[in-house]
Amino acid sequence: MTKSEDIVNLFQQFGGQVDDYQELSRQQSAQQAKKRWPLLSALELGQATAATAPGVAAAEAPVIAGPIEFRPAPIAPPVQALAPTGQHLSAAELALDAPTPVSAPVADPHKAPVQASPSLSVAIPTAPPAVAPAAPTTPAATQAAPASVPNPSTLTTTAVASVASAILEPSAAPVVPAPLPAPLPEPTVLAPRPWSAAVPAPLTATTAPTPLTGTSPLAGLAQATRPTPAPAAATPPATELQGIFARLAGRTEVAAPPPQSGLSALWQNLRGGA
Amino acid sequence: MKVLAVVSSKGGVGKTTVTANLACALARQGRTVVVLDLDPQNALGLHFGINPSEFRGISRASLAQQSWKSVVFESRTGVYVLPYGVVNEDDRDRFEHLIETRLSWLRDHLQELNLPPDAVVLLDTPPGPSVYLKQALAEAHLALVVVLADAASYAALPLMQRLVQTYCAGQPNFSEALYVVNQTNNSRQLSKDVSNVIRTSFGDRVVGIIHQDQSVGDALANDLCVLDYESGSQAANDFRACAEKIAQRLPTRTATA
Repeated sequence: MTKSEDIVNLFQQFGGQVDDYQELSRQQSAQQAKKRWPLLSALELGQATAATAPGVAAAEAPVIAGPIEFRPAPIAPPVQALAPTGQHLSAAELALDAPTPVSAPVADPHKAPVQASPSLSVAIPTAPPAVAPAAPTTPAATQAAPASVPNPSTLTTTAVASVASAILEPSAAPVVPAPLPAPLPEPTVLAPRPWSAAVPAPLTATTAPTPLTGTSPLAGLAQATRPTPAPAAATPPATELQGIFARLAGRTEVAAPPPQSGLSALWQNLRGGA
Repeated sequence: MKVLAVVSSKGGVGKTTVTANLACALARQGRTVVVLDLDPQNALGLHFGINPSEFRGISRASLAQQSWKSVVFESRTGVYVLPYGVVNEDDRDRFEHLIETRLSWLRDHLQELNLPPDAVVLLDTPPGPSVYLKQALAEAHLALVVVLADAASYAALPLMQRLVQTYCAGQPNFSEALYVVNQTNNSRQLSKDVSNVIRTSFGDRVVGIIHQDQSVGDALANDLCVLDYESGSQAANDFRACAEKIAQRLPTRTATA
């Protein structure tokens, strides 16, 4: 009996509308997922109002009221050791100096700082300064209003970064660079192209398709990845497993078997057959 | 002010992720870092915790003839973020027409921001040729080409070379094109081979090999860059190393940093 049949039968037995049934475990799982990943909770999918942006008709409230002073970010301490697995920093942990809620009374939005930096005080979109042009009042514009909800992104301060830096485990195992590649077999295919050579020639009616072995970048890749055929005498035993069984059987070499399944090859070796 | 245009000829290579994480890594060096989203996907702000329902951005400000200073967000990592914003299709057409007809559009707005001399501006662009890419490359001191370690991305590299050649060659400010190989996976032969071929082809202009790392995606889901989310991860180390190499091509920091 399937689950859905079970549910239908339960409703039949105890009464009620089976259409009203909701998969609570799935909803709970989705809620937990939203708690784990802030981005998932930031978007409410399926809401029609979120789809359309209002037309641009007039200037809108600035994100940061007052003059902006661009400043260097605080220097992070060098990372010296790998952070323990699972020690992820959440956005909440980074935003230790919680921003002042935008609902807090602010006498003068231009003078009273709502964050550590007076020059970077944040405007409240739902209540813009009187001098600011009115924002569009379409439903979509109303939807945009949640930006006024305390949003760590718009309200956090640079001081947080220094706090976060102090939290971070010293880290950084040196990155081991990948080994340099072996010399390429066909330099003409893979040689770097000068800028001037990259300008395409005009197309003509007689232009024929270029074969892959020519100047196509894919051809270069194919050349680089194509395994070099080894001499027949150097052909190793067919599989590593077969080699092990061959040694166990006292044989020093196993000839490459004819195409067969791995299982049949294993069976052959166990039986001691060639 | 130095402008770094993050570009690619192919979509889905992780330009926005690279832009965001490099910005964080450069900011941690004590620099003034500004990221500017020129991609209508408007996804860059998500990496800095900007509310997904936020509409404001450079598109709306430009159309309303508003200063870009009105759409500057300061992230918790100290990076200043200018999102693309959200516009309807009619407004997007108007916006792109505006950009297309005003060649100094980006330059004028960047100058208006009055950024300090040592500031670094990272431009996130949509894939392939576009009005945004044209403006970005015309203003860039450095072009950072992001490429995946796969065949399709590799095959699309010549297109970006041609675009950089077309739009950057005559620009007095332009210095060079740099390359970042993103999401490499050493357990896959093709990924290793593509990385090696690119490194061989471009030499020290390959400033970053970013390993495929689950923590990068997890960081985004937490509204964080990977350096803040899992500082000791492979990808965090990769981005730090990449930022160091890029920093060598940028002016030194001011003493106040």
